[in-house]
Amino acid sequence: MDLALAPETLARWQFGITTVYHFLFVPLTISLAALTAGLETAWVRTQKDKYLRATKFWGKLFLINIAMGVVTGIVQEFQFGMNWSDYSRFVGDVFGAPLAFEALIAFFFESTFIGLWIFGWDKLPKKLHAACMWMVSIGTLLSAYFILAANSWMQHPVGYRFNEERGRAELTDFWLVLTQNTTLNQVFHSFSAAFLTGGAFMVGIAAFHLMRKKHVPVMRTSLRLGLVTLTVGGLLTAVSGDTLGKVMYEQQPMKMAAAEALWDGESPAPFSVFAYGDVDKGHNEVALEIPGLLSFLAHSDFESYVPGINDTNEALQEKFGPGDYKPIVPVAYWGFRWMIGFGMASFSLGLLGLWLTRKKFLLPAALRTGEDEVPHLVLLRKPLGARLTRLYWLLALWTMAFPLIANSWGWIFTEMGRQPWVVYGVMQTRDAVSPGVSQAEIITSMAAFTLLYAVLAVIEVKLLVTYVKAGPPELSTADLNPPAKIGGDVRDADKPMAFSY
Amino acid sequence: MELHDVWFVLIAVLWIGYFFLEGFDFGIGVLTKLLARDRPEKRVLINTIGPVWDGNEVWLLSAGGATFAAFPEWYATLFSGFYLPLLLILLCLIVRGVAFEYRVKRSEERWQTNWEHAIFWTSLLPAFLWGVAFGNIVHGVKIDAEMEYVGSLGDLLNPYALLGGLVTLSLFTFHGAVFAGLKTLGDIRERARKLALGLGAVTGVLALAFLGWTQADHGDAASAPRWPWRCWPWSRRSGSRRRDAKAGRSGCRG
Repeated sequence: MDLALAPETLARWQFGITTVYHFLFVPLTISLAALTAGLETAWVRTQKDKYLRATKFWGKLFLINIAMGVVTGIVQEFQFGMNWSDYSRFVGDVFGAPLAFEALIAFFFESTFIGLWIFGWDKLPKKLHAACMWMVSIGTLLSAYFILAANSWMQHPVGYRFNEERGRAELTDFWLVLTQNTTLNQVFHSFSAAFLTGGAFMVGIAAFHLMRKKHVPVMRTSLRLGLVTLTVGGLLTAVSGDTLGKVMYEQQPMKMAAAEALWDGESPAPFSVFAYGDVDKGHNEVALEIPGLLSFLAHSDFESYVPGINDTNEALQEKFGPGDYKPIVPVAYWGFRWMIGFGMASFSLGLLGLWLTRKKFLLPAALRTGEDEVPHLVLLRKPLGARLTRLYWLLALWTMAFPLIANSWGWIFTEMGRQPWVVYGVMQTRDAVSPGVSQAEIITSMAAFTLLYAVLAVIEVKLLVTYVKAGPPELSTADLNPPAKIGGDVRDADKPMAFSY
Repeated sequence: MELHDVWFVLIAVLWIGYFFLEGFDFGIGVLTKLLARDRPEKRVLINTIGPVWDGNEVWLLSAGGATFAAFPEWYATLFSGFYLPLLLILLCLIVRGVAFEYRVKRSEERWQTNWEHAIFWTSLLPAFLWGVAFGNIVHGVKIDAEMEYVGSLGDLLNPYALLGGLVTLSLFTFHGAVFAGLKTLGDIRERARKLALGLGAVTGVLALAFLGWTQADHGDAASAPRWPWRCWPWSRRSGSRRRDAKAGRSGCRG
């Protein structure tokens, strides 16, 4: 069969499309839940209206996002069985466990408390109401943890034994699956990237309003919160990316060699800035490199040996028998670069923004602004000119998209860099597809999901834009007088519901 | 009881929980055209399940995840074998979830009525298709030695499974009507109660037909209807159990 339309290729495309799409919403959901909870807590503690308005505004955007995250997540669980039935048979005992825990613990947590939060504005005392959002936040983090543990097992299988009689992997140590260093590093990296994403989202939308001098008090606070989240998240993403990279050099040298298009092992090994090569011949034609840096990234010293793609391929052939164990090198190489490039561009803009909008530190007293004023962008001692100011706000607006691109490429890199394995060193992807599912069926489902997802993307983006443009809502008297006890006051039984579908 | 028995019970509980809870959600969705006379009534109906539908749907993810973990072969054969019906269910669940969350997020009437149509169809189809799927599981499907489904889509749409689909559809709608009778006030509540009586009768007839068919096709003496007190352990003499075993029957415990 034509390779481009082989069920394996189609199933992989479908997995890629549905997963990248799903993961556009996941990091936003994780970070916005925590940020909304933080804003609501600030309101409970300070009673300032701006925090309540910010909570309602970001909470609404969070809800629009999580709806998409939830519904696209169902597909994720089902398509293992639909398109990858041989994979499911082989790994179900190991891989299914964290998946089941994710649903049993985290999703119930999330969905219950989100229901309480949406419908509890006029029924719950404000402290309890804020606590509900924290619970949602914990739920999102837990669910991400479990699924990342499952993915880490595919990257670096541990805590299992191979049952020859039944021809499948069986779980022996669940705790090890949850706590192995691949899991911990992937969790650290994904969580920090999630907050980078949410921070950038907040910064972008706040910049949009501040550029127009609208909703200033709420957006000023949001900008600050977003910038801090973006910068701290970005820094932690870089740190965790470095440690995860070192783990990967030990566990999957091929992935990292492909990420650098390092064809032959070198010591010291250079970091590649730009490369263009011939994949079939196995060398680069053009390469711009920083000497020694790759050795440092892999092993923390500038001299050590880093194996290349060709060496690693030979080593793997010796271990697993004849075959080609190379991933698609250009995808790994450029995926790695887009991930780092877009992530760090966003981080830099955040760091710059944090400095430009500083409140007092090294800022001339005359340039300090009040709570209802748009902050001046001050580079040294004088504010930026009108054009530069506008340019920064525009860049800040565009930075919203950067982490989304970085996240997507990060996953494409880590999953495609593992190829040809679906479970590294244990099972190859070509052995994982459903043998009984026809080409026509996969094409049907891929077309249906792609089409539906595209339509929903248009609807979701339009909806987000509408709510973003509308800005934070005005507060009603009901908002300002939350109930003092659970269920609200009986006297107020006739007052209209604060929220309904 | 062995470990896999425990898992089987757990999975049974999760699927029952899912059908019990999402069942009336689907029913409410169907009733938006069957019971509601105008848009405010539709809104009343949708509001009754607003806070709970998401939590109810999580039971599906738990049931699916637990099936995956405990019985990978079952999960793999079921999901790859029932490919297109499951695809349709998934598409419905996606649209349905988004419909609930997005319907009131704009005030234009066309926007809202479109989502209301979506809620009806995406509740009706899964309510029917889940019954078809589970009808097929009870009925048995063609699988080969590798446990791959080898039947066609047409095989899944056999009369027995289609009757199963009608049973779940009517049962869920009946449950939805009862739920609406509990959760609403005024005129719509009275109509919901009346409708529930009719739907209950229809469901009863369909379910009896389905159970009768199941008994005729797959049942044995142990699963045949009988007076309940004959099944209680204290009413059995010690000799009869051995006799049952000899005759290849498992008695009331089957």
